[in-house]
Amino acid sequence: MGNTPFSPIALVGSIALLLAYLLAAWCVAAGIAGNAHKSRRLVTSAVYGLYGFGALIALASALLIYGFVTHDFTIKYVAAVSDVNMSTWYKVTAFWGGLDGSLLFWVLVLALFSVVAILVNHKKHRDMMGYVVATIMVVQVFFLSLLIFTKNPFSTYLTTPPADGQGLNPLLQNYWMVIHPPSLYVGFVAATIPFAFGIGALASGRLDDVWIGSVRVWMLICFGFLSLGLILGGRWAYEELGWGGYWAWDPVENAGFMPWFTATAFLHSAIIQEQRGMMKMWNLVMVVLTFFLTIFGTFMTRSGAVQSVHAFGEDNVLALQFIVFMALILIVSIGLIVYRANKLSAKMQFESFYSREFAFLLNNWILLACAFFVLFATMFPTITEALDGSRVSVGIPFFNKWMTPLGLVLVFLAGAAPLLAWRKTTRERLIGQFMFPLCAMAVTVTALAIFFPQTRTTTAIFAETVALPVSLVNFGLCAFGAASIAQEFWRGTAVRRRQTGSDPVTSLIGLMISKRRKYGGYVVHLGVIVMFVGFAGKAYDREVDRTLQRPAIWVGLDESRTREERARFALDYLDLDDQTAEKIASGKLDPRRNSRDGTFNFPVPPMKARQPDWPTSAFVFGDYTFVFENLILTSDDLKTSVTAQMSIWIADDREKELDTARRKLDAAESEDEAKRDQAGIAALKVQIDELRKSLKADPISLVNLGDVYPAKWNYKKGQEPTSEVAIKVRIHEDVYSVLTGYDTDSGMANFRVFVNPLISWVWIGFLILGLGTLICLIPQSVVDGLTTRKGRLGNAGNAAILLLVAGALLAMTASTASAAAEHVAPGQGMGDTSQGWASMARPRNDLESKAMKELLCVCGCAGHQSIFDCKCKSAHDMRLVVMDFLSQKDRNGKAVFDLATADGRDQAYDAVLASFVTEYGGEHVLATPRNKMSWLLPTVAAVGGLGLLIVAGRRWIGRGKATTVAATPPASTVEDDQYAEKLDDALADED
Amino acid sequence: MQTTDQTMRWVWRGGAAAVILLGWIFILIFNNFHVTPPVVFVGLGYLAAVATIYNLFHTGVAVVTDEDEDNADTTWGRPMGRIADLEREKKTLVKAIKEADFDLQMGKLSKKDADEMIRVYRLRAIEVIKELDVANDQGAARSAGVREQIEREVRARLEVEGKGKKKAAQEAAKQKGKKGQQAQKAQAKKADEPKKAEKAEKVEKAEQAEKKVEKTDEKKSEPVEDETTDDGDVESDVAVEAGVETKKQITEANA
Repeated sequence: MGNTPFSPIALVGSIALLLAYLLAAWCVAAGIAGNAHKSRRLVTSAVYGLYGFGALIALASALLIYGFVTHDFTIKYVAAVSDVNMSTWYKVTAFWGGLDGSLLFWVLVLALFSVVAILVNHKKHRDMMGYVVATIMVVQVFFLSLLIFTKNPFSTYLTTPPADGQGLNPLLQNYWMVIHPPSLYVGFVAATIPFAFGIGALASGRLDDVWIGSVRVWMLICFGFLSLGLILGGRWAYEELGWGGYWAWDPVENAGFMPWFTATAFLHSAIIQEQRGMMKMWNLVMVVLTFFLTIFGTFMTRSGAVQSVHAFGEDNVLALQFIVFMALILIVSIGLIVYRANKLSAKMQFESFYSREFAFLLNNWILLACAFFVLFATMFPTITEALDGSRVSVGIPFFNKWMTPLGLVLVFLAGAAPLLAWRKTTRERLIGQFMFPLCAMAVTVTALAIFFPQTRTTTAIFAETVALPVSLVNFGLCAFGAASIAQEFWRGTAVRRRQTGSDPVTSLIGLMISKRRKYGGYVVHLGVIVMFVGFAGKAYDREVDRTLQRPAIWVGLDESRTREERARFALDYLDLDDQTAEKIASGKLDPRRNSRDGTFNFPVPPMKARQPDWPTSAFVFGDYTFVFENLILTSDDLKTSVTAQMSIWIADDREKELDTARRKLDAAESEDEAKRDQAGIAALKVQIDELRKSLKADPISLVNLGDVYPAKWNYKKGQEPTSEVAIKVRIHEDVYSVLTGYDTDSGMANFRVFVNPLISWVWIGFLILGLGTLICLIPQSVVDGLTTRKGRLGNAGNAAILLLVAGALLAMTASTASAAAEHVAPGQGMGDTSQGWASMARPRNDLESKAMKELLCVCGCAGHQSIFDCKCKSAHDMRLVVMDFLSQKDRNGKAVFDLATADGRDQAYDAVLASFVTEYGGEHVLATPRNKMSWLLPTVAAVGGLGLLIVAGRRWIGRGKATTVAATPPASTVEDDQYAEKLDDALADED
Repeated sequence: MQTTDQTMRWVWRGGAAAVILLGWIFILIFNNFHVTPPVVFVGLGYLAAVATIYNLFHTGVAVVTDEDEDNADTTWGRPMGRIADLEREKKTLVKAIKEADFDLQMGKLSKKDADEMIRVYRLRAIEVIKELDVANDQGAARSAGVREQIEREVRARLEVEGKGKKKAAQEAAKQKGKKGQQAQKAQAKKADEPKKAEKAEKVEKAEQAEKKVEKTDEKKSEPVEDETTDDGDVESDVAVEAGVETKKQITEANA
């Protein structure tokens, strides 16, 4: 007892959580009873209780962060995710660095959001506010019960606490991971507010359009932050994980993507309800589904239901709690929707397939299909394991086969829907509206097909039943969408000019502001289209693995050379002054050490650096020459680093020829002596010699793109090195370099270089999407301030929302750490990458390449990589097995597989995959599942869904036409002049 | 009453702000004005603690507050009102007309289709405006009816008072011969005084209610700017109730 460590912070924090729990329970009871019995006292009490709850959670959070910044390692959580050497920012943001803290962070964000939501809306929705408060508090009760009874962040050591903490995973100490998890959390939490209002509307029976206007803003915030979180996660993966990609359909990534689809669907169908009084039930279902998917995603990542390096690990108790809560959500929500079904009938009907309503409906079905497919594919391994005990894997190719065509349909709709009118668009008008975008699409497709024939390459989609030139279609649809949006802006500005008589710029700004929901939405669409241009570039990624023997500087300063030669090298090649050159020549200064801290950092001068010793220190790939300049060793308190300095140049044609010739020579010389083509080898040597002489005699015009520094860091507290990639960003492609292996004694280094076309457009597209979202969020008060009219929400409410959004944005840009991957122990899933395994056992032909891309590495690496991409030893060993299997011979020395024929290659491919399935005991080693259900279910759902939409659509439209005919007043009805004037006044006031 | 409540609310808020400020100053003094991360989070924790106490107090007070208090800020459970519904529908229709016109000018709708759509929307919008006018008039009529009644009652009371004075003057000339009657009458006057005072109070209240009704009418005549405000409805309801109550009191007094 006397030795039990005591932390006052932990004690007060735990008490705060308990009080909050009791208060939340009171709010649930008071809110429901208050609204049910129309008791103002109880509802008011519930509202104040919600505010008090927020304050209590803020107190608990402040205490926990205080524990971090004061190194209170008595608290287990503080010791688990921080240490004394971390900077203050990382300590603060380690708050959500672990499971326990991330749950508390969730509760905190929801508490703050709910305070703002209630403050803004308590007068407008006073007849359902009790139910709204109660719903929010039920969610809080659930998460608090997890915190208090299972994952208390304030639990302390019972014995002597450690003197220092374990620190944060090095992978998570990165700018992008600072803001990625909080933005995702904000997105998840923001979905709770619309859900609460939806339940409030159902419970109170107030199912008119009032609640949807308030809810739409919160769903837009949810959409914005989910988008931000997803793109930041992609950016982090791109910069930190070193596999050249940004999206791997990892279960945790999918957990954030699924509610994004349903939130987007709601934002579109909400417009239909507001404009036409339709899709009321659909909107409620979308609100419930979005919230449900956020909880389901949280369940997936915290329960062990899915395998992911992002996940928190297995926890059956937690899983059961989540399952019960999700069941409760579904039962209550569906029950209320069924109970109020009679109040959810549409005021209007569909009247035509060629209407904006129908286009939105189709768009929503596609988005819902995307959400359910992602859910199905993510849970597929768990489902098959539950059904027959076998666990399969679902890799990137499987997702892409289905999501690509769905995405293309969405791009088309993003361009087509704005061209349609409400209710119906006549065929003549259709032609007028679609002409320009279709022409743009035709011109783009034709030009690309002629000048970029690689775009005509077909790719299998769906269950490999359809082959399409996906890139060409994608670029064509992007051109269609961009032209459609441009046309909308052009014509809208022209209309505004006619109405107001102002200049084009003022008209454009006025149009954007007065119709900000529509035109802000168009900007969002444009952002999505630009992102799809970036996605298309993924099909043209190229990568190469190269080993370089020695850095150029090491060659030039080799000890075998004389002092004068070394000095001359330092002067000419390194362009240094005499004094520094002398120091290097005499050995007093070693350019291999501590160059990155600026004490010895020299640029390679353009004219002199292009005489490296080929192929020792340089290679050509694509349009670039890479010169391995130096291998630098540095060390600080946290880590030791090995950094390769590499300069990148635009390759001269002679250099490309030289590189090709050298590689052919290497391949020819590595053949068995009996098989060598001596004449060919001699010819290659002559060619190489001539090219080198030509390069020396005739200096080429050099374009230096600068230096990059790919590195490997070894954290003193970590177990495996981490890769620091180096990216040279160009507008049309990125040059992405990874140091995959090195030898500090000999200077040898292994590099993997990717050339990623169009990838910058993914990030640019997101910025445009973000801008569009912000335009949609402009409050009425700002608009009224510009037009001297009163706001809708009231200035305090608008300011509160703006401050909340701005505060969340600022907090994210200033924070660190990840909540998503904190249970990844250093080295877990990374494999042994230290010996340059990535560059060894590379595929020699297309068949080996195809097989290696289909087989997944068993090291559990980030992104569930194939053995083609993974850089670890396991992947290397598996690649060797593939190569040996495909080139095996029988007893007579004859090749087992006839790789010269297509059938032979297919047989070999199937055989090698089957052998791996047998070897590793299941299909989890394959990227694409072979199970029939994996393609049957999505196919049936897609075809069935489409059929249902067509059948239901025809019925709705038939009914709508009949209703319109019946309801149309007789032509002879005359407007009452007096009231017509009042109406005209109201129209004049409306902008 | 409302003003007192609002004042008290601001007093409470001011008190809380003062407590927070003093606490922060104390924390800074305790740390020699060195603003380090721990100090920042102690300050934030203190702010959260004060906010907790403030809101917990109000959570409890709200439960025991008199249900009949007519505080516009806490009128939970009141329906939004038919006028608000009509205003909302009117806004939707106005927007739909503008949208159809915009689509026509953008070339998405033919003139025929646009005219047809706009005609349907206009006819419905005019119906809604008519219904709005009727609803507003009903509210005003209720208020006008009460106003007239109050005026009648006040006139009646003044007449009664005037007659009473005359009678007293006449009686004064007959005092010598009728002491006994004087005494009785004096007693009768004393019995009347509380009632008169009561009547005067009621008249004053009725006049205040009348003023309220007039203000409500003025508000109603202004264009409605928020989509769901029906404060006018609430206030006119209040005026109606006040007028009816006053009428009851005057009737009882006269009886």
